[in-house]
Amino acid sequence: MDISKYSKRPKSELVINKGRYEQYNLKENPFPSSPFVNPNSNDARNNGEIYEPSIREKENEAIEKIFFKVPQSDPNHLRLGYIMDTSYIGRGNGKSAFLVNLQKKINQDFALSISNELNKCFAIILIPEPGGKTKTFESFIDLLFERIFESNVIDDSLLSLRLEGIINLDKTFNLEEHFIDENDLKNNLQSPKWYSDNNIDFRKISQQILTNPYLQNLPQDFPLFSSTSNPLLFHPVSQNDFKNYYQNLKRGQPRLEFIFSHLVTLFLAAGFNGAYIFVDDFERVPDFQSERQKRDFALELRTCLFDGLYTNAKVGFYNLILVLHAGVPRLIQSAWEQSGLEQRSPIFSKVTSTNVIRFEKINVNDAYSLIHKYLQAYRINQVDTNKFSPFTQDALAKIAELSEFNASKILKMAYEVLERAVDNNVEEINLDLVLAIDEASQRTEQRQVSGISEADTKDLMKESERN
Amino acid sequence: MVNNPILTSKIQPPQPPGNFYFLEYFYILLKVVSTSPQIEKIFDQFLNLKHQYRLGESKYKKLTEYSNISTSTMSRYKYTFEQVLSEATDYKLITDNNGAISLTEEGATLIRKSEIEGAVNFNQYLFKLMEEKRQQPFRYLIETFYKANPRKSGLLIFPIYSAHRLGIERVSITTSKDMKKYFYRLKERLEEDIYKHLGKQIHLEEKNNELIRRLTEDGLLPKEDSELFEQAKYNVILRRARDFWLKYFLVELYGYQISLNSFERWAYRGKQIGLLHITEFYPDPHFNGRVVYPLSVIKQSSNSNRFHKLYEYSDNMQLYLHQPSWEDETNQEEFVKSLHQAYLDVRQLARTYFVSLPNVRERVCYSMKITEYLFDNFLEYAYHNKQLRISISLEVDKLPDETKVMYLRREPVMVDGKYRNIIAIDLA
Repeated sequence: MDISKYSKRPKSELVINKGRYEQYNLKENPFPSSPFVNPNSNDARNNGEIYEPSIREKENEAIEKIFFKVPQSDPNHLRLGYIMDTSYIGRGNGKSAFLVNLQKKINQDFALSISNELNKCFAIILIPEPGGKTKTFESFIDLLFERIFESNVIDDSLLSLRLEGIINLDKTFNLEEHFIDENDLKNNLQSPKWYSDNNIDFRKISQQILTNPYLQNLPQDFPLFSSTSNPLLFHPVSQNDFKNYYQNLKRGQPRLEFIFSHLVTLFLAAGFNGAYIFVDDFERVPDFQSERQKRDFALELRTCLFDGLYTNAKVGFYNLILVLHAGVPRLIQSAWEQSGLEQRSPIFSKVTSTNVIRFEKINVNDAYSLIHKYLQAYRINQVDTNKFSPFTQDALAKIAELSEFNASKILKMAYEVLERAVDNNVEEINLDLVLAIDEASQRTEQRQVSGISEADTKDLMKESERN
Repeated sequence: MVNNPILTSKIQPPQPPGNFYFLEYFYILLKVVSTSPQIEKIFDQFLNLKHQYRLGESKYKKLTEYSNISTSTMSRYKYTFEQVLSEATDYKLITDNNGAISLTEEGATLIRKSEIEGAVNFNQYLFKLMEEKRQQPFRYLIETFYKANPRKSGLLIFPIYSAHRLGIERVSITTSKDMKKYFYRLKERLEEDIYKHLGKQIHLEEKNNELIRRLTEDGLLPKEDSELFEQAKYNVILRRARDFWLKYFLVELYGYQISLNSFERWAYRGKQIGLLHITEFYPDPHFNGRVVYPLSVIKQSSNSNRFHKLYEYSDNMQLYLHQPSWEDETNQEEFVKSLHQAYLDVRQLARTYFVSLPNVRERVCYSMKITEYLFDNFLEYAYHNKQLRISISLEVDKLPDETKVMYLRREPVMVDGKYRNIIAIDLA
């Protein structure tokens, strides 16, 4: 037996190199290579998680002022507003990231802190499907329900109701004693075992819930009642029951009633007094509609938000905020005017409309903050003398300028410049380097794009000989 | 002396057309004549429809309308009206019976045709009338294309370079010498272009001297190099130089024996019929100016199913339009490939993710040699095809109407009956 294998070392020994970005005190390239927000991505670089709020302070202030801080009980609170992009090609300006973060902020404590406890609202983001699938109002509200469902706000409401029921029946009930944290609370209130372990009669809780004044006019088959209808089996109703119920409802009126009356009632009973529905990429709706469909859509919207018999129209529960790119207002102008929506919440009014939040281009200071935020998120050691290292400040200003102050282009260019710097083992990314990289990329681009004299084409004389 | 022995065409040059570009003028005239025989009423209605169809006097459609029309504008409108009236009378679409204008049977058929079969068929029908009554202008155009530049399958260029494009700032041009310096640079650029696009080495020294001589004789350019020229005449001088060279290319280089004006009007009409393509906006990183190329061939026969026979001449020659069909899968593949390549090219030039769809269209039309309306159709099919390896996003963005431009220089792209003006493509 050869035991020397334990003492011998290989002749070719591996050297542990520095990480690719380590010399810059970075774990990875912090910038996204394709900076379009994908909320479902796990990568913080492009799911909107790395976010610099100072850039959108103005927009944030505006939306807080005209929406979040206005009490929902104010009969004149706005029910329909618009975030309008003012730049020509309205992509990559940071609207989706803005929405993702607004939603997060609201849902953290259901807008209680933003509104000084005047409002308790949840927020959801709805993105119409591409290709015209969300063309009709029916498909629009189907999508709305899906997003409400995914946000788990129905489950949250059921929990609130249950908890309230428990506290009402037992004034001494102490939350902290029974639950370790939010998750524990959610799991336990859903579990029959917890009720029996704690000697709480679930049927009594259910009956207690049903005394809530808001819940008096609901239809008998509303899912909330399913836990009382079968007293033999213990079955705490969950939001899945709501989903099944919704799917079994006929399209049209019954579904509208459900979303805009019954569900609103449930939310009200659970203590919410409103909801913010952000509709990103709204143009995907009118883009595929005929003039008639646009008008019908606008009319339905008006009925459901403002003057129908739905509970929602009566209290103004859902507040819709449509995100419009440049060029979209025109698409819906005549439908909005004909349906009377324009009077209700003007987009086109010459006087600056209070319903419109203008989404402006960013400036150079915003660009600094944006880059800093990304760098910071990927620093190995947080102590750094130059917060923009390895970039110099004038290099960043140039990157911003060359990217036309478009947030997504700035990030993409920062990504590319950093990659190039690593490849060339450059210590500092300064103005000269950015200019050189930009020039080189322009040169290669010009070489690649052919003029008409070199472009591939057909010889029609020869072509006409072919069979 | 012309130092290139290019072509002396055997075919007789055609007569010039009426002084207007849009074939829709015929349609609106016939339409109003069908409602009233009275010339004043016809004119009033004609103006209404002219505005409705945005038809202007130039080759571009109008976007803005003057709110109060001046006398001189009105007399221009009247002139255009008379031009349309006279050409339609020549083609026997209308008749004038002592001041009462009425549709002929052919005119009435033509309106119906347009309403049932659409604008493309209407234009093709007009094509036959123009070809027969004006000594075959389109045959003349197309045959000369191929003769003038056989190595590029009939592609003709008409370069236009401002001083700025050649790297000279407008403010630095003040003396006669400065202007000559610009002319000299222009001359060099034109020589390069001729070599590159037409494969000919031609010296333009003498031509350039001729241009300078003419401008001097007309008092636009001072004789002395150091003398200042009248700044107010700057644009006049530039326009004269531009037209001088355009005419040189048309007549001396390509052998056309018609005026620049007549050529343009026939060419833009040919574009509406689908016989050829003409544009000033081909996105080319090096070249600036107008390009024209044929989308049809004239020959004795063709068995290719990509060509559609439009007309037969008295000498048995046939005119075929290049019209590949979407049904053929190879065409689908070719279109998608070409669209993707064009998008990448335009994106590199523009350096934005979403790029101008009309620019992409220019490149695809040239590479596939198809008309703009065929491009629109193909794009619509491709857009709805979910099997493709690329995903296409089409967006509206701002339409020309919403900007401050006066004229619609390029027809917007229509997909699903809606205007689209920017595009992005990703590999799926």
